[in-house]
Amino acid sequence: MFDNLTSKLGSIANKLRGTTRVNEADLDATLREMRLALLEADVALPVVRDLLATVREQALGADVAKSLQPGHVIIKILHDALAATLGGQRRNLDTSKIPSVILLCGLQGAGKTTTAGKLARLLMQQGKKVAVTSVDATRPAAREQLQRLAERADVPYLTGEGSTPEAMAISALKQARLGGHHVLILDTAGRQVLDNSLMAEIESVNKAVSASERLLVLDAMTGQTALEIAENFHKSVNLTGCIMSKTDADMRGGAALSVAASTGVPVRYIGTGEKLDAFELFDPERMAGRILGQGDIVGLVEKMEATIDKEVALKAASKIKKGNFDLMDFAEQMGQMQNMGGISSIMKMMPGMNIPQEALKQVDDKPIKRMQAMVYSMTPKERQYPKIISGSRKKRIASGSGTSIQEINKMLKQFAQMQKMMKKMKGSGGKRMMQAMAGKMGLGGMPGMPKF
Amino acid sequence: MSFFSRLKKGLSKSRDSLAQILPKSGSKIDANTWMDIEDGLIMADVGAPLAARYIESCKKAADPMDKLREMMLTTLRQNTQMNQPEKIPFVLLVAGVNGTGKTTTIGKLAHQYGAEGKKVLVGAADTFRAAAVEQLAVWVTRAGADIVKQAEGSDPASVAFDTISRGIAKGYDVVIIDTAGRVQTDTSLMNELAKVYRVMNKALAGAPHEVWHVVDGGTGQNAVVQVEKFKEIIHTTGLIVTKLDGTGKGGILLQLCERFKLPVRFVGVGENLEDLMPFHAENYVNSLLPEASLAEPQPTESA
Repeated sequence: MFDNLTSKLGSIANKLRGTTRVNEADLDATLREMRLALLEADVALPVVRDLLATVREQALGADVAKSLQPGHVIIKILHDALAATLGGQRRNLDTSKIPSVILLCGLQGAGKTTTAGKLARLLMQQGKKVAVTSVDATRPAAREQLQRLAERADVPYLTGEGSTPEAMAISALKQARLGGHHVLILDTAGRQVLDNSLMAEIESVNKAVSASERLLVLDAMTGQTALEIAENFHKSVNLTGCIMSKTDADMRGGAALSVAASTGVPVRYIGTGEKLDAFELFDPERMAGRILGQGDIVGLVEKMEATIDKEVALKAASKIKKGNFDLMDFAEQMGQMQNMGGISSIMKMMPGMNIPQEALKQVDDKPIKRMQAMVYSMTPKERQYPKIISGSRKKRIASGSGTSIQEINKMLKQFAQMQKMMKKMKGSGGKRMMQAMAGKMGLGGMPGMPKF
Repeated sequence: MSFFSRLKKGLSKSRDSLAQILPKSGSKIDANTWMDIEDGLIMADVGAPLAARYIESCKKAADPMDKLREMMLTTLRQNTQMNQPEKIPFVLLVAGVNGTGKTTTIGKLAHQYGAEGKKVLVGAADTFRAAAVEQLAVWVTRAGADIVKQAEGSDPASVAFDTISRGIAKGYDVVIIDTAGRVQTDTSLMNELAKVYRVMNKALAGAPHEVWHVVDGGTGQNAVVQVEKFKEIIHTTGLIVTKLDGTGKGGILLQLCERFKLPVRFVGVGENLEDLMPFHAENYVNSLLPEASLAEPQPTESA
C-alpha cells in the first residue's frame, strides 16, 4: 500500500520535463504529493509544514538544467532538507568521565531494556568496560529481563540497593566506580503516559548520577505523538540523543525526523531486529533516502562488508576474472547471501526496486540451502566440471542431498546461465551493462545523488 | 472514574487541540477551518487519506460536524459478534508487534474473566523475550489465574498445545495464549506464529475461537501493515488498542476498522488490572471530538 514517494512523483516529474524553471502550479502539485508521503511515513504534521515551506522556497529559486527533470530536482531538495534536519551534530557518545552514565528513557514498550543490552554489547566491543543497571521498579520482571540480556551480552549487571529509583541509581554508580567500569548504562522505568511523576522520577535519577548522555528510546512505528514525546523528555532531562527502535518494522521511521526537527537532538543509533547485534549507527543520509523510499544502498554495502568473508569474496572475484568460477564457489556465494539475511532482506535495501511486500514474502531462502546441499553432495571434480555430471551421478547427488534430479537439473542450468553472464561481465561490456541496469532502476541522472 | 471520563482524560490532548478548531454544530465553516480540522485529524493519527475523505463528505453535509461524528461511528461499528465455542474452553490467541502491551493486556483479560467467575488458564508462549514468562506469571498471579510455562527458548507451539490440552483436561472456561512480540517483516517469526495457530487447531478443533491483535495506541500508519500481515497469518477476529490514556490518540483505529472491517474488542486506558475496558464506539468518538462532552452518554451500549 505504500507507494514510495519517488514513484508517486514520477508522473509529475515527467510532466515537468522540458521546462527549465519550476513553475508554481507544478511545484504545488508536487508538494502536495510530498506532504502525503511524509505523513504516510508518520512525520509529524508541524514538521512536514516547515520542511515543505523550505523546499518550496528553494525550488522556486532553483535553475533546472535542460537535461534534468525538475521533479527530480525537487526531490533532491527535499532529500537534502531531510538529511540536514536529521543530521544534527554528529559525534560519538560522551564517555570521557569514568564512569560515564548513559541514561535511557522512553515510554513503555519503546524497547529501552532491549536497547540497553544492545548498547552495552556495542560499547563492550569497542573496548569499553561496561556495566548495566535498571531502576525500573514498576514493570514486573523488568530487572530480570535486563539481567538476562546482560548475561547474553556478557556484561555485568549491577543491582542498585535502595527503595527509590534515585537511591538505586546512586548505589549502582558507586559499584560501577568501585568496579572500575568505564560506562554504566542505566535503564529507567517507562510509563504509558507522559505524566509529571514519571518526568520527576527521571529528572531526579538524572540529577543524582549526572548522566553524560541522556538518550530517548523511541519506537520507529510511533505516530504523530513522537513530537510530543520528544519535547517532553527533552524538557525534563535535556536529551543528548535518540535511539530509534524496531526500525526493521518500519524502515521509513518518520518519527526520527519529528524528533530531530522538534528538539534538534540527533538520532544516534537504530535497532534493526530482535538479536543483540541488530543495532547500527544512525546515518542521516540513509534515513532520508529511506523516508523517500529510495532504498538503502549504503546500508547494503555496509552489511556486505560486515558479513562477507573477504577472503572468500576475493577468491571468488579472481576466479570470475579467470573464468573458472565453479560450483563450489557458487555454493559459497550463496552462503554469503544467506549470512546477509537472505535474498529478501537484500532486495528490500535495493534502491529503485519497487518490490511489493507481497512479492518479498514470496521470496523463499530455502532453495539456497537446498542448492548448497546439492553442491556439498558432489565430488570435487564434479564441482569443478559440472559437465561430467551424468544421469547416474545426478541420482547419487539427489539421494545424498535429499533433493530430486529435476532440482539438480534446474540448479545446473542456473549455474550455466550465471557462468555465461560472468563471461559477459568480464568483457568490456560489463561496465556498460551495469550502467544499463542502473538506468532501468531509475537511478540515472539524479544530480548530487551517489552514483551506484 | 468511569470509562468515559478516563478515556476522555487520556484523549484530552487531541481533544484540546481539536477543541480549538472544531466549530459548533450547525455553524458555517470556511476553507481555512476545514483545513485545520483535517490537520487535527491527521495529528490524531487518523491518516491523511481517510481524514481527507471524511472532510470531503462533511463539506457537503447540512450539519458537517454531525456528519463527521456519524461517519466515524459507522467506521467503528463493525460486527461485534464473538465466536463462542459450544463447550468450554473458549480459546483465545493474542498477538502483535513488540512492546504493544500484550502481556499486560493478558493479565487484565485474565483478571476480568476471573472476576466473571470463570476459570482461566494462560499459556506463556512468549518463550523468546528475556524474562517474558516471569512478567506474565506476575500478572497471572495477580489476576488469580493459572499458567502453563516451559523453559525460555522452547517451542511456542508446544506451549500452546500443552495449555489447551490441560485446559480441556482440567475443565477451564477460558484459555489465553500469549505470544512473543514480533514485527510483521520478520518472516521466520511470522512462520512460527502460523505454526502456533495451526497447532492450536490440532489441540482443539475450532480453536482459537478468537484471535486478538494488540495495537499500541501511539502507533502511526505502520499499524495498517501490521494488522494486514497478522490477519493473513492468524485470521485476526478483533483488535485491542492499548495505552489510550497516554499520548497516543489512537486515531489509527479508525483506519484499521475501515480497512479490515474488524471490531475493536477492548481498549487499555491505564496500567492497573481493571484498566482494560470493552470498546464503545460512541464513547470513543465523543472523546475524540470534543463537542459531545457536554452530555456524557450512558455506558450501556453493548460491546
